[in-house]
Amino acid sequence: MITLEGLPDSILELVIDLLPQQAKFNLCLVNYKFYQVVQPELYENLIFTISSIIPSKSDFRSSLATIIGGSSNPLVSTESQRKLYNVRQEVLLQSLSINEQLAKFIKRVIVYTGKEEGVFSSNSINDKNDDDNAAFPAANLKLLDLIKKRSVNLVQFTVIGDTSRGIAGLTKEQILLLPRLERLDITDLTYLDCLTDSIKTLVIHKLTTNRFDLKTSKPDIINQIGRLDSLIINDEDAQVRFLQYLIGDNPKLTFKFKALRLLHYHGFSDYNVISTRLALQLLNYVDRETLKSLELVMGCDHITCDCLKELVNNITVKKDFDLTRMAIQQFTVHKDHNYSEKFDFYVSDLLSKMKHRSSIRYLCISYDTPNDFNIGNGIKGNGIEGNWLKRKRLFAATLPKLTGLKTLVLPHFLENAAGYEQIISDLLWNGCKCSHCKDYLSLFDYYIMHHQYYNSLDGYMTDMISPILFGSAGRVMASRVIEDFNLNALKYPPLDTYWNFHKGNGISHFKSQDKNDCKFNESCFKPLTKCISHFFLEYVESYGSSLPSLNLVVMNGEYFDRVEGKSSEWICEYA
Amino acid sequence: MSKERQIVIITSDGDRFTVERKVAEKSILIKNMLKNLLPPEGEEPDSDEDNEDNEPIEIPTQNVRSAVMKNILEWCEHYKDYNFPDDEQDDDSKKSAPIDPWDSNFLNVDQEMLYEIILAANYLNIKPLLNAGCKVVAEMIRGKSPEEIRKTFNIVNDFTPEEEAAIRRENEWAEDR
Repeated sequence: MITLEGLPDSILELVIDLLPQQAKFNLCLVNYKFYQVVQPELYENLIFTISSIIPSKSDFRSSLATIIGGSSNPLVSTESQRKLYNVRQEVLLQSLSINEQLAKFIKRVIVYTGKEEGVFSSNSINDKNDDDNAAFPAANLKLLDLIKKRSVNLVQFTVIGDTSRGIAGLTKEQILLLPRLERLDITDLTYLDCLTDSIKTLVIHKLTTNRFDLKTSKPDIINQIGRLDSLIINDEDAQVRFLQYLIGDNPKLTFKFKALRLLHYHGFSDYNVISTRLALQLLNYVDRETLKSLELVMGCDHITCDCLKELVNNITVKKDFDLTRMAIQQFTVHKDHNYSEKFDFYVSDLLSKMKHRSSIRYLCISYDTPNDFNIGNGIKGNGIEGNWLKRKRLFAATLPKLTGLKTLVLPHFLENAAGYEQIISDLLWNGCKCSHCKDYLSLFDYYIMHHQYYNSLDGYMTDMISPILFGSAGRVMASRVIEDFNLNALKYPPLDTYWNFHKGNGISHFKSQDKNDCKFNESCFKPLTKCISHFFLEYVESYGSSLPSLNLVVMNGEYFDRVEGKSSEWICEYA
Repeated sequence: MSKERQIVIITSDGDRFTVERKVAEKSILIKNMLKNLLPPEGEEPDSDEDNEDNEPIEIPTQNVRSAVMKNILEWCEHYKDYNFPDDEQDDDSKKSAPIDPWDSNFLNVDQEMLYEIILAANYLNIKPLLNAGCKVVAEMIRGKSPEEIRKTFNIVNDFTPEEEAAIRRENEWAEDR
């Protein structure tokens, strides 16, 4: 008789690979055979972050990594969260010190210090904790040092987010001792000396030093870069310095990258024309046959300029890339609908002009929104319903052209919608009529009537408005997705993040009210996200009906899976 | 026009299943075998290559017994017109997606049959079925305590209490709190 225990290890590994970490933990304790098979899987992919993983109802995304984080209880205080996070790391440090074998199981380490991260982020939403966070290290340095030293099978060691919190990447000496390292993240261009044969992905972050004195000869460096599968550039200054070195003297070569991320932003005073020129130039050096994934950070803050047209032409006409994965991220300093519409226009133009657009399987469009979600709300500015509908129609006309699309990711959809007060107020007052929304939307209406916020444009405290409520909620929901880069948005398990309804944009109670009377806290956040998911569902269904191939839509960290054969075609995983 | 040659799958216990080509080709193992024996689907065979008596192609599957093969072929029949993408890039989202309700219902069998289907899917290289089977087993494990897992899967605990405590301590950092 065949039993679970009797299945070959190769099959058991497939099963274990689908288990969330608590199930892996429990399976380790079942007997020695399972302990041996599960242990490597439990230690393989580690993410250090204060949050926990959002529990799945029916999907298997929580199995993507093991989190060393805080408590899964959202009402636990920040201090207790930190204590638990520290204790977990201490225990892991002990385990790795006692059983040296364990470190060899570790292949990927992500230290996530994201600005939107978890229950105590340091962005405007959680502005109160700014100073606290700076003093609080993002991870146990002793533990990370031990991992770097003993985990000889490491393929990735990445710090995502705020690098100022004391976490350094791998040193040059450590890199050279890691024969299986596949991804190298650098903040110092002298690390180009360390490009070994095993490295397939180079990620260049914001530089922490201006040094650029390489020991290796330029032809050798270019040869190593030529071996890369992926080149990811996350910062404009780094892009200029790196690309000037790489292609500044117009060499005769072609890079066979499979994935590429670059920035094309035209800002005020034209200070970054060199960067945009180099970005365009780099595209000419990329082999059109090999490039399958492209991420663009793009924007032009001159309303009458059409520099993005050249970018679109380079991708669609000049190179005619045949891409399967595409991510486009907006960059703007403006708080104005017209710039978002301009961005939408060029995104639509780009996607429509791509001859091989039916090959695209994955599309991520990420919007850049102001902290106060104010693009001139209501009658004061451009954030009027008609403008939103115009953008909605353009998107609805473009999307069906991507006939092979399977995954659509819109990480900041809600903050984007929050700029249009009528649309977002409709969610609150004329939204879904299900029993959940009926019960809760009236409570959130009560919340709005009893809170105020700081209007930074006008410079005074004023009555709370729905864009601030839903925009803030959207930002915290978006932080469920670890912000590596958008092509990688679904590589990590979604984090369980909460908002306490009082952080960001100076949200407070009216003077006449006792703040202790307020019942709004983290426990109200999940019901709010459920109302929001019902608002999203209308959009998801419309995308799904125009694209039969679509089977996953992710909006602000809400995952909608299309499940055939169910009365409701789309199921929302986390609401 | 010549008649398409029949494909007969023979199980370990000698049963014979005659199947359509596109049903059989859900198995990549069989698909690769047929590649050498038949012209690409939709194309006529060359007349000189056309077997005189149009003998069926027999495919022995020594690792799969009849009752299991019946189930496997039911699954292949259900998905015969569906093209599973072999695109590596889709793997992440596919791997993590919920089990299809039809698969879930189809795999609602006793444990032994489930494992046999998984093993057969692995042997015949039917990845979507293997993946669905593994998801069903994973669902049976998740949410259960070590003792409940032992009971559900009839596993004997071979740890001493001290060993179990030591392992618990070793991995305590990963425990849900």
